[in-house]
Amino acid sequence: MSAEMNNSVEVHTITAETATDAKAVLMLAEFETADQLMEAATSMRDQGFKLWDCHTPYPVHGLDSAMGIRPTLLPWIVLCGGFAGFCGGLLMQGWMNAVDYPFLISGKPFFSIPASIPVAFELTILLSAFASFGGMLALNGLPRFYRPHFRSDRFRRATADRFFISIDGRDRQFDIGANSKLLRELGANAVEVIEE
Amino acid sequence: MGHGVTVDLSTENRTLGSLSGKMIALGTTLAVLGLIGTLALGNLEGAFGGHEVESSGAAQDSAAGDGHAAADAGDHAPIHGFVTEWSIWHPYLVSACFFLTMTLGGLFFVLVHHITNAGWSAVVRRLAEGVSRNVVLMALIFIPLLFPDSMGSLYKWMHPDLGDEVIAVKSSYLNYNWFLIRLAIYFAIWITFAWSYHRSSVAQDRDGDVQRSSRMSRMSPVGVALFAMSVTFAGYDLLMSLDAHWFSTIFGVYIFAGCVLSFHALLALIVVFLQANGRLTRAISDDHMQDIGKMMFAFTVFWAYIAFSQYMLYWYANIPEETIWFVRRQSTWMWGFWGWVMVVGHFFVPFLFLVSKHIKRKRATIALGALWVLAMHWADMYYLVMPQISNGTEFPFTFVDITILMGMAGIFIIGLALSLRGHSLIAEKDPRMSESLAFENA
Repeated sequence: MSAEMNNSVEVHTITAETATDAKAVLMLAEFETADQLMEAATSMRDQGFKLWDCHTPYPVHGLDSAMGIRPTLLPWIVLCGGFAGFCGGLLMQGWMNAVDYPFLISGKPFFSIPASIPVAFELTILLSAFASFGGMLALNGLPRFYRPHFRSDRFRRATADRFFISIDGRDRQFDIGANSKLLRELGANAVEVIEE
Repeated sequence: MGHGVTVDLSTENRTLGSLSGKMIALGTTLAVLGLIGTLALGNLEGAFGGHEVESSGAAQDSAAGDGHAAADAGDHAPIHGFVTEWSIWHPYLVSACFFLTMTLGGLFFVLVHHITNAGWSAVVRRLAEGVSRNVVLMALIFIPLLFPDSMGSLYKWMHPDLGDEVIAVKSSYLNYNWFLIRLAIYFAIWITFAWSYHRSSVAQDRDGDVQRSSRMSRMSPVGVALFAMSVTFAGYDLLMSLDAHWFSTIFGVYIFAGCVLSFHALLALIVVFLQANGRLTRAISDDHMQDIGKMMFAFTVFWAYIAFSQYMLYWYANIPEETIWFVRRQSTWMWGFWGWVMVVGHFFVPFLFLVSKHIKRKRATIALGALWVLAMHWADMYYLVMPQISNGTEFPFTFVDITILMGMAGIFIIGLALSLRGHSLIAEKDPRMSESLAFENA
């Protein structure tokens, strides 16, 4: 018991003022450099953490594979969006021009592929763009107005000159003592726990 | 860690070495087989025999050998802007344009990557410079086409029908001498830029002078402007004037799209070939392959965009003198089918195939895609030249199409081997080299 106490590292705890039954929801570790973060992320991945994330002031090449992020589903969503736009564009024009309100224009067939391509093309682009934007938001769980990270003053530097790893309280390996020790060993210069 | 790890160039096998001998052997074999095949099969097609008999007569005879002017010179003779009789020069022109466009794509690649000061492409730019130097070879290949006999069997404006006012109006542009002068100008532009950029780049390997890069960058806008003009007019002259009555202002852009697309396919194949033989195995990474694939993908779309732009405007306006070119390509099932091969095979198949990142990064799949794109580019050139034969009613395919293609491929490979040997396969001291070696797709 006492040995454990001696081994434990300094952890700064931030508790929400409104919390009645405060529970740890998030753990933040601050790193000085991108290289430290990469190393730490690789280690976190190998330890089998699932609900965790990295926060960097700029895109860090190779971080995705260091974190073990699986390929995103987004391209397939965009493909479906584009395909729907293309087919929808053709169907829409076919139905409008040839079925609902046939109208003869310069002797062309009521429905013809060449005349329909520009609109179908534009709708392909449009729905692809919508699918990629909407799909990105949905997959990221956005928009979200609040995250526990915001309680940490230190975390503000994630947009300037510090690199962070956060572990969600719901991760199966979430354990303040063990995790903070691990993060310290990986080079974190500060570890914070957020309770709410 | 992870990022920023660059390849040490000195550990790479970056010269052609013994591979050039193998390439020359392969090229020679192909060229000889192609020549023998062309002579043998061409004889069967009567490409040479008939000509000899005729050429003993008046020179006009062979020039008027399109079957129309000679057969019914009466009042009701149809006036064509194009030659309808097959000659050996038709497959020759298809193949020559197939390789010329690819070569010019290489020149465009070199120029445009200097203009944009592109970082990623520094590792493959030497290969593009090598390809672009083949334009000298293309000039040689085009020489036999430029004799009055061969020109006459391709271009109706060499010997227009009686009372052909359209060609008469255009004759100040479409005439033999001016045509030769223009081709000389085009090739002079291409050879000058291909040669000087290659030379400057190789010289930089030795002295590492950064000024060379900035000089090349400064000159490249001039190069691209001249390139745009020359490719456009070469497209008009060599391919569009096959039907001297027809015109399309977008035709030059269409040819340009084919140039750049086919070059990137060729570049992917060259890289795969070199790496399979242990050259530049790490310097050219999956990320570079992905970018070459992206360019193939982009120009697949660009080609389709231009091709459709040309088609739709003519289809919509429905003016006979404009639509006739497409009517000839749609009124029979075989050319109609060929057109659908273009739509599906030249656009939809490569579009869907190349859209995935993994396809572009794997050597086997990108090579497959590149071969497909090149096959489609050949089919595209065929589609531009051949439907004028028999007014589009007969399918003009002969095995000479294949043998000439084979022969020119052989010559092209020999040229590539000569062009790439004797110096490094990579622009060693390019100031953007370390950026290029470290390049990663985000």
